[in-house]
Amino acid sequence: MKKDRLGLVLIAASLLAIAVVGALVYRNGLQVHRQNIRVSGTALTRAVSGMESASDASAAIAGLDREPLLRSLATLQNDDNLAYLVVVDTSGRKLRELVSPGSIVPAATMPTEAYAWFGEHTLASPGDRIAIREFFAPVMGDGQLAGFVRAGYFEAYRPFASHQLSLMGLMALPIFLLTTLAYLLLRREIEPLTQLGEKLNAVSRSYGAELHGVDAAGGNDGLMRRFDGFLRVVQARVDGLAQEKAESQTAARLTSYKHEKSEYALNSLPDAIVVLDDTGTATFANLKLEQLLDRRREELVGKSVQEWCENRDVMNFLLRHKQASVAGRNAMLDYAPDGDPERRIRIAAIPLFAPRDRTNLSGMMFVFRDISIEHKARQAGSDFVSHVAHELKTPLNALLGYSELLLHRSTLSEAEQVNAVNVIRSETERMATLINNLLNISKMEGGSLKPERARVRLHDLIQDAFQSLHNSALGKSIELELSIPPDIGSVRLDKYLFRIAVDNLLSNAIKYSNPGGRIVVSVGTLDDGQIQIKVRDQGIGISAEDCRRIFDKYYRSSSDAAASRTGHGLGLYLAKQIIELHQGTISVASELGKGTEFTVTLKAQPVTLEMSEAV
Amino acid sequence: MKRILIVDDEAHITLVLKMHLERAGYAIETANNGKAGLEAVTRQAPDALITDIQMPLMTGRELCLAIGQALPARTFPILVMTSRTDREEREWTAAIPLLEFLEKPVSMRSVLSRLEKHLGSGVVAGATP
Repeated sequence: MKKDRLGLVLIAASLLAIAVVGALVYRNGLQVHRQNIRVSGTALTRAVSGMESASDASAAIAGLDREPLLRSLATLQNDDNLAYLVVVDTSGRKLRELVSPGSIVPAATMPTEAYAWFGEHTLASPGDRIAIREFFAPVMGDGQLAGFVRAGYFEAYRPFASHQLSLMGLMALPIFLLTTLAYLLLRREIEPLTQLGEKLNAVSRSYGAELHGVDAAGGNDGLMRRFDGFLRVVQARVDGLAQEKAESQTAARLTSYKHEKSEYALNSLPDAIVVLDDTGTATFANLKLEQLLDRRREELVGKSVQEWCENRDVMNFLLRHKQASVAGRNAMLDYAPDGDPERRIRIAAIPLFAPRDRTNLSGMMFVFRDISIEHKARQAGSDFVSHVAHELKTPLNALLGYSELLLHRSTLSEAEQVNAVNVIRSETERMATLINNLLNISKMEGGSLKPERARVRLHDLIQDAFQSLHNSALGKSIELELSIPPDIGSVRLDKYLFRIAVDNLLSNAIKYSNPGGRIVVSVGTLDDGQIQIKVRDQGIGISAEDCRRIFDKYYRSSSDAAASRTGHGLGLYLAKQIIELHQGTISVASELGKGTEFTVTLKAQPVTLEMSEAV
Repeated sequence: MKRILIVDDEAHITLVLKMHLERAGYAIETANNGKAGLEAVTRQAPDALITDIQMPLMTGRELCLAIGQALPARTFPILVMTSRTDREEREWTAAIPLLEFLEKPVSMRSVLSRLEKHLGSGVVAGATP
């Protein structure tokens, strides 16, 4: 369509060019025509004028019959434009007349003044009003004006005479041919541009933008506009892409931030985590796993369980659960890493489901937790149960045995009977002590045992404890010595609890003293007002290693000498707990075979505080 | 006279068992820990062994295992006086032949009946008071 328009324009242009050329040719022709007429007319009239003039006035015009000569002259000119040639006298009478067919000689007023005898003017043919250019010259007779020669030419220019048409055709033809050629060439040149334009349109459309208002104009201008439009679209697209890029970068940063955050959280967990996909390949491991398995994550991730798991039980567990108990029951496995019985690691298998689809298992997560401490605690709990069972049932055993013996007291001697009863009594007391200790420890550990502090005379408290154990000391021939200043004053403490601590320290000293040994209990006040209670024996002593653990719950020395003494490993532990409950400290100094000294230090108790509390 | 070895760190228990069993006509030897008990067993195998479990130096469990090592073809029974009869305790004893539990508190009648079961009745006929 646009191509057609171009064709029309080209045709119009060629026609215009032809018209212009035609007009120019016409104008030129007109000028040449007029010039020709003038030259012909002037020449003819002058020639005839010369020919007609004579010295004799009468002979001047009327003289000889010169018509054939005239005719020859006119014919000589061979001019189609010559309308007529007449010789007139001064009155206007035609003397001689040569007229082309169809022409009429118009009447004319001839000039009289001599300066205007030669000249020309335009007349109109009487019949058809055709413009006639007439040239005239005087005919003289004896120096006097005898008449005029008048030659009339058709002024109208007939440019397209048959001989000229072929010329015009020859001129127009190349223009036409050139125009056509130019059109074809242009078309050929424009074709790719048009295609380019359409392509631009198509591309723009694919970007979702229409090149608006560019269809209205074709050609180069259209192409330019289209190109402009295209550039705008491209620019918009580039801007859009830049925006998208920025957005995606932000999103990526956000994602990476989120990822890092969750990774950080996963790495901060106290538990080690490994995720296996459904082929049993590790896809994720957190930092903790490196420590727990002593393997770098790179050694695990992307590898199958068989490649990195050394422990057969663990491997079987991991593989067994790779397809998983989808039931949601989280299976567990406890194992001792590297065969270390002190350590325990618990693996929990947790199925990972695809989000929003509880039936699609995407993998398994295994959480490795170091439960060594819990294991130890459980072990300790189990030990505690055996320990307590033993400590409680052993006296029962004695009680049952001796009471059964007493059933047959007739067979027993007096001394045997007394001994049996004594054993029953002491074993009962032992059980009671143990039960009390256990209860106190359990209360203290549970936090429900709060010391009920009251003003207590320390002197009396120590004295009472000392007295009550005096008998058992005497039984082992142990000498007991008490050194306590009578003015030691009173302290605020839980009398009942503190007595347990002191009793435990004293009975301990007796238990580990050798017969004939000596135990010294001394109480004193330090310079800074702290009160110190020392229990020193000359017993079997405690090794340096045992000293470190002597206050631990259930701890009993494994040395031969200590092992021959009964004990339940609670006394010193309980004493320490009670003393610390009173913001005091207890320490031990000992030498094997020489003896042991326990030192209890109680904080100084300001009098003002006591008084204010007493109010 | 059948010889019974009693291993216990509790002097009261050893004493009362000894009194009871002597009256029943057994000859009694005592040891106050597993180590001493093992020495006594290797010195001369008794006709029966009565042992406590929780003892210093060597526990009853260690003693039983040590005897198993030292005397693979042991023929005398071991009576274990235990405070616990739970699974853990049963597990290790299950592997030891000729071993019986005596759950604390141990009645003298049950000790005697076990011994009779293994050593035959009427060890000292009429000796029981």
